[in-house]
Amino acid sequence: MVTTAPEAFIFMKVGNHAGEDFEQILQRKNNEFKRTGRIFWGYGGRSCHPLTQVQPFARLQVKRYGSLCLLMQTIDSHAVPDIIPATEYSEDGIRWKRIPDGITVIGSRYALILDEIQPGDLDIAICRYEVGIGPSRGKAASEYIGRHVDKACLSVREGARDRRGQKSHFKYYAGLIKPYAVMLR
Amino acid sequence: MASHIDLRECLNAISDVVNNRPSPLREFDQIYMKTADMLLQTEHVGRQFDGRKVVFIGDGDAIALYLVHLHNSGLLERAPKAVHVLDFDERVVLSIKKFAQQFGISGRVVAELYNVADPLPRRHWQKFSGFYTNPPFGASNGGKSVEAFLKRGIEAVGKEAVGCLVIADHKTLPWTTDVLVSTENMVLKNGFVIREMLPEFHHYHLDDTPELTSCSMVIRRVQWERKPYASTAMGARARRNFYGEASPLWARYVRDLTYGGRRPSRDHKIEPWKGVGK
Repeated sequence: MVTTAPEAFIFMKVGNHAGEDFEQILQRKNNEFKRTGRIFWGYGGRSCHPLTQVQPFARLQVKRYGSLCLLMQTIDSHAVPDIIPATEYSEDGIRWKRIPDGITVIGSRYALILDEIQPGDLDIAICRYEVGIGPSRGKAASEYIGRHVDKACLSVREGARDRRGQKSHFKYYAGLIKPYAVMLR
Repeated sequence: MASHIDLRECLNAISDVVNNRPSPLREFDQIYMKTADMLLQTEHVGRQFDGRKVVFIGDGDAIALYLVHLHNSGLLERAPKAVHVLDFDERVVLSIKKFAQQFGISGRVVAELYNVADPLPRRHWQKFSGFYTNPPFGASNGGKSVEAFLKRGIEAVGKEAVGCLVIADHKTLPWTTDVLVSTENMVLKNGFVIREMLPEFHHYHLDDTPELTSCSMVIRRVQWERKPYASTAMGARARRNFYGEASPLWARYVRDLTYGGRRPSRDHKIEPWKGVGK
């Protein structure tokens, strides 16, 4: 269970999506976990590309700290993407496999691979973190996450001790499991 | 000194090339430069490469085509005599060939499939008088990907050659300074000097980092000796960490399933009106 601020994590704003409210999504995803032992957590956008950002970031953090988690910040979201379920996924963009039976990912280009999503109650000073990978590497997380960016691979800033500052509240979390992130189609 | 350009005519000519390019693939750091910056870059490198035979080590932006197309259309005073693009993306290679044929510039434009992890083909060793590269910026690998592309550019050029590197340069992103330092060191170690530097000169279509800029670094060879062919493949370790630690160069080529637009695209389908048959 995540009870203290981790050294690194994947930040993601979450909410209602594709006509489902967030509670329904959580229930459906955890049912998928019970059936298949993993969750495909769909997402889109240009940040957190599965191959160039999430996978290498996760490999490094797992090597350093033994695990990496996704922290979910719930927001009032009404994202209405095309309701098209993915039929295939790929870990490398080359070899494509069928989405396992029992898993449904809707309206997403990419997916994080998670273990069970659990409720939590964690307040984290985002100003202690910076972007951990990609062209914005080193940029303060509090500056990076904003109007156009709703997810990020974050790690603690070197020498960041101050735990004060504006806190972000996370109500749910899940560990990433191999292969950490995939492409969908 | 900058050349005089006709903005409307130039932008329309640039638009010809933009319209011809394949979609960028973010997984390979193909991120296109913004159009106005491409025009300024084209004018800038046209002066640097005037009358030279220039090899492009990767060219998703299609700067090689802008140079020859604008010059051939009488819109750019100075440009290379010929350009030769080496790129691992067959969509890029075929789109360049198609454009060159369509606009009657095939005699000055060559494009071929090549991955920088492979040795430079023997026929290109020290054969060009200029090189251009806009490589993956190396945010997470300390500039190793920049060095890989720069190395091939250096191998491909001869005496008194001129090179142009487009690499990340932004004052609030410290990694860009680290990469600039390592690149400048490599430039100097290989007998080149920096002749011109346009800092924070270009912007990109990059959603999560729209403020990221790059510089145009022009270098000139001051020490040279003819050497026998000695290009080697990139080592296994460098390939394993090409995009950053634990982030390997996993793809050798990107293949074009439309064969340069001759076969139908597979990214759409047509839904007909019900009851209307052809």
